[in-house]
Amino acid sequence: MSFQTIYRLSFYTMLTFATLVMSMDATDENPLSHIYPIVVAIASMFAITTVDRNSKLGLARDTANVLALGTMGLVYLEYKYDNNLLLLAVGHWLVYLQLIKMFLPKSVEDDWFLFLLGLMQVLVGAVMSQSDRVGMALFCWIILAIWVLGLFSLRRDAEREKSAEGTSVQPMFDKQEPYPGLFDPAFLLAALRVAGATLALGGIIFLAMPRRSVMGTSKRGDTTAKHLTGFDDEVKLGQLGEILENDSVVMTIELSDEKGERVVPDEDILWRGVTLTHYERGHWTRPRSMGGSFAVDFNRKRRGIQRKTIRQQIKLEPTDNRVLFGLRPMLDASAKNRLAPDIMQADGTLVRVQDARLGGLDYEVISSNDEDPVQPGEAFPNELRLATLIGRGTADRRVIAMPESLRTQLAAIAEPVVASIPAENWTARAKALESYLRDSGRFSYSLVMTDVDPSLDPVVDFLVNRKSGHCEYFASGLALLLRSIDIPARVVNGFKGGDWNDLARMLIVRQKHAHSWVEALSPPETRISEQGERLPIWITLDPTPSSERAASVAKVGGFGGNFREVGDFIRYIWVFYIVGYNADRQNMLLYEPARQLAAEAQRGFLLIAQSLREAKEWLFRFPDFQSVFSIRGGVVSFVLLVTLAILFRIVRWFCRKIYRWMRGQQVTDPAQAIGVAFYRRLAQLLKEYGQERSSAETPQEFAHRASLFLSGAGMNTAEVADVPPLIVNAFYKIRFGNQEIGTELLASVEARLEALERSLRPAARA
Amino acid sequence: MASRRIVTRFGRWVSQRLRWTREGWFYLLVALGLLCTGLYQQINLIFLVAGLAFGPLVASILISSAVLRRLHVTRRLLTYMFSGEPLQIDFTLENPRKWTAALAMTVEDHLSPVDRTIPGAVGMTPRVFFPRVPAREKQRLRWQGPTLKRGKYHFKTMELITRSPFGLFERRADVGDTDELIVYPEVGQLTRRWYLLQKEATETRRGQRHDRSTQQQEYHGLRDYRSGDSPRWIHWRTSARLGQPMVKEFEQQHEQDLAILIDPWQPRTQVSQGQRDSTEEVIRFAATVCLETCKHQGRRLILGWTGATAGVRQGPASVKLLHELLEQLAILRPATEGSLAGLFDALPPAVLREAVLIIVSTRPINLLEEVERSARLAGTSSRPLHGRVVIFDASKGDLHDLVKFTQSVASTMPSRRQIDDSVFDRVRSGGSHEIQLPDAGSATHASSPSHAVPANGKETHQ
Repeated sequence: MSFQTIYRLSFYTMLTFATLVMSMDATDENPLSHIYPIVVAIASMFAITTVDRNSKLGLARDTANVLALGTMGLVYLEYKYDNNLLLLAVGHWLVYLQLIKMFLPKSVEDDWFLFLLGLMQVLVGAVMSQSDRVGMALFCWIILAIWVLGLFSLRRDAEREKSAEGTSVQPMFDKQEPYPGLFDPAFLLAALRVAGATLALGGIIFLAMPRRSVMGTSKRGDTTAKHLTGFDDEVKLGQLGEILENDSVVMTIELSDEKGERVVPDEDILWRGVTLTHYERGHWTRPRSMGGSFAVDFNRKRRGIQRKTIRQQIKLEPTDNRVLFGLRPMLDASAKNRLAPDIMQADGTLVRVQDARLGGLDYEVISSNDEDPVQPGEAFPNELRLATLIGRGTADRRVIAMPESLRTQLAAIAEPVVASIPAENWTARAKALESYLRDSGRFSYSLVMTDVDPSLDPVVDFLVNRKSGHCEYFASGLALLLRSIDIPARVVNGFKGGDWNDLARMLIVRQKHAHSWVEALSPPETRISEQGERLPIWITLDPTPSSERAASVAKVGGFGGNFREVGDFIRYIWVFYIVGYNADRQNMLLYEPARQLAAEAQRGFLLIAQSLREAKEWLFRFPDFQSVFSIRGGVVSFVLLVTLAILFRIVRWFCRKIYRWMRGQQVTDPAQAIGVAFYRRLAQLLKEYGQERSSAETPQEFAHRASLFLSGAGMNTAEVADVPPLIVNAFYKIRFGNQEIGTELLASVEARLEALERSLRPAARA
Repeated sequence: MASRRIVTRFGRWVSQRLRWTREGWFYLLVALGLLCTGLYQQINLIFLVAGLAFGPLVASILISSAVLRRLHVTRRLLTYMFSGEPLQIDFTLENPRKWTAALAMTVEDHLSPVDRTIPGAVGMTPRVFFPRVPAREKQRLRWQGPTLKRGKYHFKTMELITRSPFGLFERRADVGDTDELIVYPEVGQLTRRWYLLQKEATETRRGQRHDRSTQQQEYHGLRDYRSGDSPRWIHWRTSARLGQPMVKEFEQQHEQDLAILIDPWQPRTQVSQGQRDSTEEVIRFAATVCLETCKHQGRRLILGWTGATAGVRQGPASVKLLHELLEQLAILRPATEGSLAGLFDALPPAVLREAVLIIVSTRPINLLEEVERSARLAGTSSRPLHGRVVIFDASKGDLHDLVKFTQSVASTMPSRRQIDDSVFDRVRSGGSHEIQLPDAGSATHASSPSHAVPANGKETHQ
């Protein structure tokens, strides 16, 4: 495959991925969005086989201009169709322009323009969504972009090299195939190295860029926020089952204790979500009128209570629900965007504040790790709410959610179970009913839902006929059974457990981890606050058979589950160090270690300085002049002199290096070569006339002997008797003195050597 | 060793030059735009794209240095050439690396005239592009450029240029050595008229002197006595030693000495283009005559020129002398002072006495006046010179009919080709001089037998 073809193929693949980044999560808003990457890919193939092979097959410029104008009409239509999708419409306009440009004959500038169009699409995609799917596409685009930039540079270099006017270069390279044999393993390896280095450097720059603490969330919120079924104010019984078979991630959580050390959570940890209190005909609701809300700030510091805590840094995926999740009892909650979550005073549900944008959220919850079921800030239910919770209202019949017929049927089931337990022992009765559902073996866990008797209430149908269902049925059954025997109870929808990742040491909670459980109120007199107020103690009851549920959860995920450990780790990096990377994490990752290192270094230097000072004190403390003339004085003087000598040599070596470098390295060697050449030529000349240097003779002695020989050889050679010493002196100067000889001396030496040669040759002839 | 290597690498890295390309500036602008967008939108994905966009910028700075490492470039060119010929330089890029090919390397050379006063002598920047040199291979490209004016030219060190890996920066490193090139004046073809004029002058001279002194005969060797040989030619010592008569053998000089005296005069100020052209024409003519004369051995050739200090070079016609004369003509500057009289004083007496004098000037010459002003010829009449002097005034177009300068002549002249192939096969490679001359005795200029005669007339060996 030729260079041009591979270049074009790479370029168009990169553009396809750019479109994919933009369209990846936009399909929910505009179902047609998923077509765009496919169209770009197909158009790429056409462009490669047509216009990129023969420019005559490309669009005419005028036609392209008309088409470009026409695309603006398409954008307008899309905007009119849904004016909330202006950004997506603009992104699609970029795709249209890209398609037109692909079918034009392309110069270097056109390629830059296409590259920019791709980049703009990536930007649009990044603004619209920051999901991990977009991240994967973005990563592919980045790798391709680096590869294409490299090839693009080679192409530009080959195209740029035109001979100047009046000049030519032979042999000329083929403009169509300027780099034959380019794509060999060595090149691919080098490309890999360059890409790796570029990504690493880019990554460092990304991490070092100045951040704000609110980074990681879009100003305009996520346009691709998903709905989380089962966490609304009204939940239809069985709805939760829809998400139990879904492997999508809901939130990623880092857990640490009060010392800041990471902790591994229990397998059955319960992430509390929405509290449902009102039941009617298979529907659970959470009436909004129930009590006020207040910001979670329980001032545990103010109260001076040092408690064991568990800190949860939660990265919630984009969702349009207002419900947030955390471990109960919650002591504190905060969000990076300063809109701290609220907790509902009446039911302890953690929610976003009213004016907060929906979408993804980074928030932090600090929960008590003590065995204390009291949720600070939660009010004890008043009579009205109690009536709701037990389904037997005395003040207002309207809020009684359980019809008498239902109560009768359920009480008939519950009473035999708790018959042996005193009525005032709510906790024991509740536990007995929990055990009845979970451990009796009469009920089983199943995600398959079929109504045996549609005329019955679904809960009654579950308890009486079907006796199998998922957690929501078990929780509803228990809650209603408890109510039927006058124990206040409520259903909580949240998540149970999660996928723990050992590499990243964090928990990933997926939709399949959704769970329902029950909170039953302990008797009112159980806990009284210091102010004499009754504190609500809600006992958590989970009637769902754990092992069966766990087996069901484990089945979800399919083949991808085998690579979950690595996949989740990558996702963790993505979530916390790319998408959710903010000033706090930057501080933790870069600045704090750097500060610590600097502090350590400073401490080390201070220690060294201190030691040196002490050593100096000891060494140089001579009380009088006489004491200098001692063994210690001698040692000190010796050490000082040796140090000075070493320093002097180092400085001299350094100065010489600098001097040689500034003068140019190549000067010395040729000069030496010249010196040696002179000497060799002299030796060769004299050798021809029987004057050879013996091994025991130094060059200078040899020169002296040769000089005597020449003086006595006749008039011609007497004139050049001075030549051997002259040459040898120059040789010594260069070879051993490491000095340079000037051009004048060089010329003189050469001339004298010539003279010697001329003098000797006639002598030889004679 | 490691530290030395590191220091060397660092030194090399510092000595290299890095400059932004146009695309680099554009790219930086886009990256900054991305950064601003990220800051405004507070979206880490845009930050990520911006950060990775800066990656290639930083990587270019670091990697481009490694790309240039261990590459060697050599330049190979003729030591001298004639003006009018295209300049040819062979550039060789050697890639001794084990695996990695050298990609998209450009070699840029810088050629500048040593003497910028020579009309038309301008610098040049030869540039060749090596698309791909595989590992452990070398590639040679021949650059051919326009012709150069006469003069001495200096080659700076070459620059090896790369824009790898992304074309955002251009890194330049000095490679190779400096070098020199001498461009001899353009030579043409002498016309029939020149030969007629020369013949006329020679015949006139022969008419005046019938016998040639033995000074004009060169001792060649010894041979057996033949009947009719002059007894004066017998070499008595050798004859006695061998026991038979041996005579000295002389090579008869068939042609008279030829002295080309040029007067490249130009006014001190307000030099017209015509005067500049005349000067160049004089020099070209002299070079052509020197070349033609040196094709045949046996004749003594003298080149003299006027100036503040008149100069003379002379010797038996030979390739070596030709080089010297052409080199002198290549660097000859126009003279604003000096006269022919001064040149007469600088010439050896034998030349004034015997040689045919070709005087070529850019101004009208009054020979009588010059003779009178000459310290050596003053008091004598101009008769000794009469009939041996031919004067050309280039400003009047006297040289137009004597020599033809055409492209075809310069490139197809058989004698030139012959000289190129056999005598002028002298190339310089990588700064080291490889001299290939037919006779070992003429290996260097230093051992040249020619004589330079300064104005005081005393001969000195060069």
